Amino acid sequence: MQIRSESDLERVRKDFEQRQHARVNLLLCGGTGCRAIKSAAVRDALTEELKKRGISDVAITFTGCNEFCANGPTLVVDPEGVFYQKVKAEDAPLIVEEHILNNRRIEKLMYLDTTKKERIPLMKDIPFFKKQEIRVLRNLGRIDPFNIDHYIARDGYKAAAKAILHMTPEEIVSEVRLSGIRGRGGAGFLTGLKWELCAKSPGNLKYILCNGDEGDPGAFMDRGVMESDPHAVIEGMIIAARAIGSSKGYIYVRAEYPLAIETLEAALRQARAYGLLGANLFGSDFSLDIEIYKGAGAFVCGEETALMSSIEGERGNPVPKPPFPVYQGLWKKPTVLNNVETLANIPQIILRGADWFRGAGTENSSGTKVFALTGDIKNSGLIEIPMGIPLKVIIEDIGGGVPKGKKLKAVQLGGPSGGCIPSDMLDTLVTYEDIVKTGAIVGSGGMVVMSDRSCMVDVAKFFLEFTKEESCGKCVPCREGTKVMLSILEDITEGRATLDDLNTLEDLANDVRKSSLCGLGQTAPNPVLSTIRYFRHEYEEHILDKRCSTGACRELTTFHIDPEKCTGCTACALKCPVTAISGEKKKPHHIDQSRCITCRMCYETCKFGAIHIGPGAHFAGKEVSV
Amino acid sequence: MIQLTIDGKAVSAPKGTSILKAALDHGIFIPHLCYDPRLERHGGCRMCLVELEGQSRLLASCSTFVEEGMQVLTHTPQVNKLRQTTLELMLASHPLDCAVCDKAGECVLQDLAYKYGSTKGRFKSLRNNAPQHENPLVDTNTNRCVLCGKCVRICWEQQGVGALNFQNRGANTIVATAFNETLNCEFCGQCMDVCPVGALTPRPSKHRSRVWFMETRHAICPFCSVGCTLDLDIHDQTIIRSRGRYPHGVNRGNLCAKGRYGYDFVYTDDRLTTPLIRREGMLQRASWEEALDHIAESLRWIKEKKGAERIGAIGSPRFSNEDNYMLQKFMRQVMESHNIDSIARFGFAKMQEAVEEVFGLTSLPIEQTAPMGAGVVMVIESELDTTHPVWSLNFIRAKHQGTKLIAVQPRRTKLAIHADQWLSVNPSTSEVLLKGIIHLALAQGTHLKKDAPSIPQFSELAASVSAYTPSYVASVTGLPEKEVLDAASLFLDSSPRVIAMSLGANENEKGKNTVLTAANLLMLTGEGPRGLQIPSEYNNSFGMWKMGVAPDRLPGFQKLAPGGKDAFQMLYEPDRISALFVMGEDPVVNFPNASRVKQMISALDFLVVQDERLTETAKLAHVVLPTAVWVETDGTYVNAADISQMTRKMLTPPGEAQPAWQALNELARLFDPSVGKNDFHSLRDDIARIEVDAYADLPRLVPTEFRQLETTDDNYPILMITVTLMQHSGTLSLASRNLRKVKPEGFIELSEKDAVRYGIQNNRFVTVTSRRGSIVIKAHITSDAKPGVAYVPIHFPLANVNNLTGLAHDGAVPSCAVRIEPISESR
Repeated sequence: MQIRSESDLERVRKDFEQRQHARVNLLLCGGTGCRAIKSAAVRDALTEELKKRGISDVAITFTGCNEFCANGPTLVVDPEGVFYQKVKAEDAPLIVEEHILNNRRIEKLMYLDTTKKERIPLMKDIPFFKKQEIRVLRNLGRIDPFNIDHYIARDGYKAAAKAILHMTPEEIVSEVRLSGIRGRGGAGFLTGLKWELCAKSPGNLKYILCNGDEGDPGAFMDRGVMESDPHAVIEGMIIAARAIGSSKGYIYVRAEYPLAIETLEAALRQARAYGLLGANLFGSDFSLDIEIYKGAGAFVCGEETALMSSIEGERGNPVPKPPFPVYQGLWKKPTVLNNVETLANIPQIILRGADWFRGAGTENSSGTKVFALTGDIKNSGLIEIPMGIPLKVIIEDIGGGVPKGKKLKAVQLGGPSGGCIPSDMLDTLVTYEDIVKTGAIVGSGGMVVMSDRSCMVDVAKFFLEFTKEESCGKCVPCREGTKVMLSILEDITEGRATLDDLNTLEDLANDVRKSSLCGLGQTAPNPVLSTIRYFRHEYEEHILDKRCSTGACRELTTFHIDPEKCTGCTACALKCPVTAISGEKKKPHHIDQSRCITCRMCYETCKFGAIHIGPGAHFAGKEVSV
Repeated sequence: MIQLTIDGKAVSAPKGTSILKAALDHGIFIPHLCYDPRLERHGGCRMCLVELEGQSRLLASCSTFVEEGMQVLTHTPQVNKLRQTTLELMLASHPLDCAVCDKAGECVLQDLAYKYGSTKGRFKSLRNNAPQHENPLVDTNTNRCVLCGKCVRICWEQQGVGALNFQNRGANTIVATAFNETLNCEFCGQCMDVCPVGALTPRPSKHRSRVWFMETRHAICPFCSVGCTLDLDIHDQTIIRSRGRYPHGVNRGNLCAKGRYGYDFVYTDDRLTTPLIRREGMLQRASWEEALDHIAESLRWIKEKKGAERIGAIGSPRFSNEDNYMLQKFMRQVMESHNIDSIARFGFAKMQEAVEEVFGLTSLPIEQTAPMGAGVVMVIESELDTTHPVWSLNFIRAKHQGTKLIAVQPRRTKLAIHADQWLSVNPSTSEVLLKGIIHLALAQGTHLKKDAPSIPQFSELAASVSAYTPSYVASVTGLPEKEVLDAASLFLDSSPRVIAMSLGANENEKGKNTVLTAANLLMLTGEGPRGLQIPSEYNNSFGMWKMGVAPDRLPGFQKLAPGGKDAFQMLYEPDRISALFVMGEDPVVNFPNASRVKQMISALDFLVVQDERLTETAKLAHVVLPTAVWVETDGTYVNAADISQMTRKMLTPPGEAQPAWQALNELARLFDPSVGKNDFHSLRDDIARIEVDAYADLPRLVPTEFRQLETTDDNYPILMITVTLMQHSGTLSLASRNLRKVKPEGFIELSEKDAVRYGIQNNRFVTVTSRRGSIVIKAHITSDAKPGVAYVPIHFPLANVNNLTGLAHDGAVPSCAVRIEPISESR
């Protein structure tokens, strides 16, 4: 059937609800992360088990990402809200027998709070979820992304109907402006303002683009939304297109997200079948169609003008601005490019209003933001928080702190364009303005927690390796500058650098930042500048002492056993892959430096802190030039 | 106009100008590497960064447009520091080749480093040392490349070729050809002119001289009629290099392969250094005195015994105004004969006649900037990108700026690729298409000029196109009817309209009737003569015509009736002349139906050839006079737009070679001492006094019938089309070793289908036979050719293509039908 009015939409919703007969709904995570650890096998096992037992009033929904990725595969038993983690296919009979048939919750599958040492059965009580403010991620882990009716059942497409039938384009723009929402892709530009400028640009042919390139390593917020709630993106694009006067849209998805491409393709097909895309939406004179355009493995194509060049079939090189895309974008027509998360916010802003949106967040950073919390943290996955909370809440309350035996060192925000916030600055509020003051950026939402096992120089080098590889090569500062900065970092981490080199690095980083053509080059030096700002002593230690105190830089590391602390438990000797450690039981052990390959296994294994890290072997005892 | 300040200086510039251009136009220098005024903005080198007063943001001045009230600062400490770092970065990846690099002394990177760079290099050298492809004309060194992208951009944006592009990404980026194959493009060499460093340099000039030892002199190109200004770099009486410099010359700094590499034709070993006289059947060296005396004696005898009307001359579209003027003065004043003509009889003269018949003008030069600014331009069966390459760049630029381009072209040429509509007509049938468009215009009535019906012969013209309905046109041209209608709409609905074509002496796809039809169409639609753009062929075809080298024209296009014998009569009708003076031409090779010409010439009592090398015609002569050419003598040349330009003497001619006009002056004085002894300037004064007669008659329409000299049949199933190659111009360019590196020998191009049908293999010799003769030539099989059609370049004397061609002097298209057979099976 075709949905041609609000009442048609309501009818579809009601029809769906009436078809739901299950008394229990098993929401099993089918996001990329959980599929990688075989959640599909869990689904199959559960299906078979239920069939075997002749149970017909229990449904299994293979949802998109549930967010709590580190503990997957995850299973939520609805409507109770019981949360099971690390579920394996072998657990299926147990689940069916114990929980489904006998209403007995399974302890061993519940979340374990390691500090309080207790199991928490309900999802809403788990600290990871408790402190979040779920708005954009509301459908994640709750609906089948391949079934549009699930989305419609949860108020889907109501906002689009409202925008098209009851609001003028100017009113839509105004509402979005009032909400204060800023671009969630990293630049943080006022979305409403961008729409307004494009709406005012003359011309009948305009484009609405969704940036699903998400190139930052370690960021998967957009992936979560595209895989799990594709219709939120589509609905957002419909509203945006209506506001600016566009009838053609593209979703640029990176090719490395095949599941997201599948869900989006299915979503577009199903939306078209219902008449929610195509000609005369909801019986109005407004038409829109959307196409998917796949990326081809270039980080730089996340930059808006490079993305547009890519769609035009050209090399993904950025183009100087001005003129800005809102005036001359795709094929030189007025274009709005918005991030996935930004668009996913739009339907609720329209439905519930700008004031509701402002109910979370601060004056200049309104609403919520999704982060991908990863690294040396107990609870990792996707989180959504109201802007303005201190970083401490995220790290300690939601993340649960660093694992035992490690100490927090820094939090890296914004991926290869961002910077590190040291552990003594956890009171920093998570808003665009406050984070920028620290030298980092909120960015697209990648948040990597680093413990004392991370070498900050190595971190900078890691990000420079990435940006150097991904530089498009058009402008000299970025193309050559990242190459030179990386070579200096390699010198530092391999013991060849002098203090002069450190000054050169800092100076060059500043120049590259100021003279690059696009955002990639302008922000590539950020990790370098940020780590030098807060961890200069680590750089100096690498250069002057030829020592990397975390053992990450292998040329500058030797491992020694402290005879005072060593208990002779032989744990390290057993783990050593090259049998470099010798010693009798209960007697202090010894590492043969000529065999040691500095793999750090002993350091990771020792529970007594008896392994200490000394300077690089070549440099021990040598005079160092500064 | 937008008002702004740059470094405190008040500057005004039109909207859409970049800050950089505005600054440079006002004499304020902002360093730049990747900017070129001909190209779209790039913004990659970051040398042109500027600050705005009161703002922290830096802008690339090449990519930012001027805005009202801007206060631009170009050399603040901040941007200077950034320039220094950018240069340091570029030099870290740049090989230290200055000592062996030809670019030293004119290298932008060197100059910028000197002015803006730092004396310390803080960065480790991270240079490439990739091996390079060998290429005979364009020396590439990717290690030196700074990735400014100018070669890529000029090759695509301006030349419309796109032979070079970026490959890979980031620091691994290189500029390369598709699939890294050897460079095989037009060899226009524009990429070398824009390259700011020594990554692309001309191979023939490699390591021959440091720039500071070379002297630059300007010359006008000796090849086609565009009349480009060449910047010749000379060292020790040798031309080392030829370049274009933006914005010099009518070509605005652009050159083609011929202008860029063809200059070495003056240096061949086979230059004539002394006069030659035939004694005992052989040509032997003689002195000037002996030679001129011998000529005078012989001509005097023939004039007395047989009459002045038995003496003829052939002038040269390559030689200067002074040379041609002197020739016609000698013939008319001294020999008292009007039998003077040239190769233009088979080409340009047809255009002149047509223009006179329709528009009533005695000549119609092109506009140098046509077709820019036109609404639509239709190119009729002409490969303008090979005959007039630099002029054809305007067509691509016009297309980018919004002009609609219609290419009526059997095979896929560069303009066809860029065209808005490409009509792949059967060869020679474009005249039918034009008649079809006239038919539609008359039927619709809306596109005609207001008083069209009152133009003389309107009803006759209407009657003559009444049968040319869209379906008839479709059947003859081989186009789908819809394409015919689309083309007609595209042409008629736009304004202003231009029709362009070339009409070379050796082209056989068009005839005088084609030009008349085009002129009729333009007249009816109110475009007038300006809409007809047909350039003259060679560097001085227009000048030669203006100097009166025609049997029925005096200098200044003044009509002469009854006039003397033309080339048809002199060289194709038996026993019309007994003596012939040939200046700078090779009729036995260049004229159509060449074997007949050879026959006629061999029967002459007396033949004098004045040329720079021993041509095939010269080998039959009784006296041969050596000439100084091009930069060996002062000379004035008129290009297709009727612009007179002078080339000055900069090299010494070989041996005893003299400028042609000088020898003719001496010869004239031997007959009649009252003929003054001219020097160059007095000749120019004489020429300046010529009164040009612009109008001949009232304009009118001229109905024509579409006719071809001959058509295909079972014996001669293939239509042979003669073409010009981009790298050659007539036979002159064959003398250039540089240009021979690209296209050294003749060939016939045919389709795969025909190859299979007639048993032809690629690169093997074949016999090609027409109703007039037979030749042996190599075959090239290509997917670009249409079945039933073969293409032959006309430049190669050894190929003797003109043994196959025929003449049409009644307006018909001089089509040539042939059969092609592999050698072993010739009948």
